[in-house]
Amino acid sequence: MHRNGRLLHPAAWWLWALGLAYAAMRTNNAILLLAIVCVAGVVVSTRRGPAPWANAYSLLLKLGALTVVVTMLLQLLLGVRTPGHVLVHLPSAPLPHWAGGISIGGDVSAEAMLNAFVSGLRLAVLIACFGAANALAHPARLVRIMPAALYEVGVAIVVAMTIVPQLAESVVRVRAAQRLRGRRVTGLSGLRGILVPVLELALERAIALAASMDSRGYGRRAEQPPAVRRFAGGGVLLGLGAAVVGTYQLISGGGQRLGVGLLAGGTLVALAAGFVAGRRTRRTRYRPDQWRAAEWLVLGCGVLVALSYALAVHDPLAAGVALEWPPLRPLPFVATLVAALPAVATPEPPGLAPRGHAAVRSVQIAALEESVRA
Amino acid sequence: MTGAPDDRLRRARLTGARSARAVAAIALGGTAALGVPASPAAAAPTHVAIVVAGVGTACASAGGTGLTVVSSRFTVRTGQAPPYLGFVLTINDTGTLRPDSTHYWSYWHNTGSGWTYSTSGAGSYRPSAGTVEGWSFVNGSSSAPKPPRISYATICASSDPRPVTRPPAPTHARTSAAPRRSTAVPPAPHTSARHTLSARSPAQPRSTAHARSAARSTVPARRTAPTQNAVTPRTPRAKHNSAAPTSRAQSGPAATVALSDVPPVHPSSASAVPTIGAAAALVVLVALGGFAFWQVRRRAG
Repeated sequence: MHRNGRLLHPAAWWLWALGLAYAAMRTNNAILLLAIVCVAGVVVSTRRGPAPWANAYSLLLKLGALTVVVTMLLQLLLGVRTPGHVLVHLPSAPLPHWAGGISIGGDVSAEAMLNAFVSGLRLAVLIACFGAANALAHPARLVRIMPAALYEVGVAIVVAMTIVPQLAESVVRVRAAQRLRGRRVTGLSGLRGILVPVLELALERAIALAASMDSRGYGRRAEQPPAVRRFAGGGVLLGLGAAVVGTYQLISGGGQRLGVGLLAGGTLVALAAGFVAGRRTRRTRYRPDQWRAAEWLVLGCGVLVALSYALAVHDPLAAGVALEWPPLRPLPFVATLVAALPAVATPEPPGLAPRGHAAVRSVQIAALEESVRA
Repeated sequence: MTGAPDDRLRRARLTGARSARAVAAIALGGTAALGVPASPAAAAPTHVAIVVAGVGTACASAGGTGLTVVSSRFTVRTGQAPPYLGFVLTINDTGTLRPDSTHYWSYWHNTGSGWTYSTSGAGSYRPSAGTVEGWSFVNGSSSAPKPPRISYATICASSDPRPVTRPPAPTHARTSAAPRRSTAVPPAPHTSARHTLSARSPAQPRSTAHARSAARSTVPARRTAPTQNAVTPRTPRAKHNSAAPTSRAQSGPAATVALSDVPPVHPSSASAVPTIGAAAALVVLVALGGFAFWQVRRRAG
């Protein structure tokens, strides 16, 4: 029994996961990638709440494994043939010239398969980081701490982000229900029996969401003159647009200075407009999340990982990895392990009933869900 | 180090260089004519000649794509991840692992009428026997320099092993931290065909007489310049990421390499077993994963 446990501030967990995801973006070293997954798994296993969405990590871990398999399969069947240690020779079909660089079959090299595995693993790690953030703090809790001007945008993002976990949850529920009724849950006929109720559930959920949003005054502005409202909306839109263009500039390698300027300027304009819009909005929060020492620790771990990878990891991502065991990079590896510190150094989540008390547990889960929805 | 591209561009603009090239082309016809009767390979070409500017030349058997041809004789590292999937990054460790629009290997064909820039990728183009494949590294300039013009007959004249001396110290000990080539080894785009591949080095006044005599005896003189490394036998692939310099150090004494004897094999991987550090790291990760799994089972009740 942990009576005085508490849920940490959602922003801390999301920033921590963002740090891990950034680290995964910077490397193609399999050891470091696996370290990130393991660290995220340890923290999730000890610090997730007792809610249904806390299974997001294992769900997305499975999706990540599927990603690795699909990437390797695509490489095997349709990949670009590069020279190397020939692993297997597939019968190749010569394609006409207009088919461009697409090749079918041919010599599949071990290097190509290894690199397909690593790139699939990178994607899987990114997905797992997203899953860890979801499991540790439901995105709906992020909406509560949104500035008022970004509230609508935030809700839209949350609805988009939770669609996959919610669909998966619906599928599980419908399958269980159909199995209890003694109907088939496999095969084509089983698929029909599952698909229709799932779509129905999604529609019902959307209607319920719309009703609850309407009842909570979603989209209404409190006593703001139209000019200020228009200015704030335009500012947010303009700022975010400039930030997107700046990001594109940075990624495409066009103008670095212009990209940074647009990104920073756009973010500033959006923040300023949001501040102006939010100043006169009256929105109260029920039991706001607190930011204490544990949150600083979690944030520090995320920043440490991101910083150490930014400074110490310079993998030539385009060149891929050589056909050999990945070398161990001590500094980023240790930094990644340090990111597991929140697993022991933060307060435990509340409401973890002792095992066996399923009824108590389900009541607690319901209470927790209610508190999140509020 | 930024002076080199400008230097090269200025050199390229000199009209003298162009006329010198024209003279060289005429002279080249002469040497080719001299080489033809001596070599059975030239009578019915079965090979493809490869000229890699700044690295060396080689003769590979025809059949296969331009990529397989060049990688049968040189250590070619191709990109393994988008957007550079299948892109030639380094040839014998020359090149860059971070290519961009002004740092890349350009790909050329010479089917008898001089160098033409390839309109298709090396992975889809299939060079026919008797042609010359050219590669030159674009190092910061906006236009790709042509590879040195060396005829098929010069490179593939004989299937006999030709002894080649390797320089004592390669000048381009490259690491991934320094992706740009040293400017001391320009690809020499506008040299006469009689010069060595690195003929621009002022310290090497290779006489034309020497080159001509070399061409007569069907042994090209291209291996003798000590500023350039020749086609080296395949070394185990260097760990580009690890801090420890592993197999990169090509040992000192001048080795004699028979060009045609370089077996078309691929570099063997450095080690089949992980290092102690990597193994320890894996053990730590397994322990972490096991702890997470045990924790999940415990909390599930």
